[in-house]
Amino acid sequence: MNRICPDEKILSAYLKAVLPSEERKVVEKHLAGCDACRGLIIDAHNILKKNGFLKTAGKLGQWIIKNRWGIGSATALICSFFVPRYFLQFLAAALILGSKWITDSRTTKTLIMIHEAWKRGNRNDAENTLTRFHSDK
Amino acid sequence: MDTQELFKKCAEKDPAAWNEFIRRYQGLVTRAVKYKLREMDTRVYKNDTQDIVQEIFLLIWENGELQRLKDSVCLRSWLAILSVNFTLNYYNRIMFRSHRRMVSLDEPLFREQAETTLGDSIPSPTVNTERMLRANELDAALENEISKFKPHHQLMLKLDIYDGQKQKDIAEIMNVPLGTVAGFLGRAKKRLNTRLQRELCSSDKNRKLGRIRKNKKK
Repeated sequence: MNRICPDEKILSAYLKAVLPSEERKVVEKHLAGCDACRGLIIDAHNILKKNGFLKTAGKLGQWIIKNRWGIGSATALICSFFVPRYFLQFLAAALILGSKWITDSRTTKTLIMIHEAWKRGNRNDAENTLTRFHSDK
Repeated sequence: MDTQELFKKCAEKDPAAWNEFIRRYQGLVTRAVKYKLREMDTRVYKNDTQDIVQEIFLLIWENGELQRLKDSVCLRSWLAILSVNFTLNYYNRIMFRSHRRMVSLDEPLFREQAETTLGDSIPSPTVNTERMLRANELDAALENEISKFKPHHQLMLKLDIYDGQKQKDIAEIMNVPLGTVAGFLGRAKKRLNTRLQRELCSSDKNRKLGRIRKNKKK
């Protein structure tokens, strides 16, 4: 096992498949024996994949990803009317997904933070959060 | 400004190009840092993420890393790898400095009672020694069998078995067709299965024989 790890430039060139075949073989031999470098390559691949997906999703795609729980809840609610046999199940799913959507949304999180700050009696903290909330809007 | 031009100007340390570089790649670096921190399951505040991101850009600027990166084609992957590596080192540095003090298990638990050590206070977990031994044996046998393949194939197998990557991801990482990966992994796993079974059966037989011999001696 070769203990001297190749630097990030070589690893990125491997990931992009721009290394000459001889060097590629050396890197592959190293990667087969080095868990840390393999981890780096896998992480980078996952990040770029995720990034690419979000980038190619477009505005509609991003909106769908952002509101996925809400969409799921609405779909379950609609299904509950069209499939009366599983009315209760769909209704329960709609409620669960809906509550997830509400608790996940940024506005709710901010309101919870303001409430907690008020409860703690830290007026400045609460006002700061409130100001940030209004400026974000 | 296209990437190649931006890359060239940044390498020459043009401030305007550098600002554009940060604007363009800040998202990617932040995402990489957050990804790694989430993976390490750490509670990191927003400021820490921003600190790490700033330090990464500072490192690139001060060390003139861009000049050494010959091609802009792998700029994104290089930034991702660099960010992940830097986050890992940063986290280890912080952990080592602030939280963890190395404590020996042989240290006395109380000053008054020197004979009771810290190690004594840790409850021994109920370990099935036989099962552990078998798992270690299996690990060693698997490692040994994998090492018989070519490095290229070893990497494929390790990405699949040890790192749990999907075949599609393995194909993308190694830049080989998906069919090649699927075909090879199918064949190799069958081969590994039969070899490991044979190996473990023979080691079981040896162990039983050893036990019989011991009993006879008694």
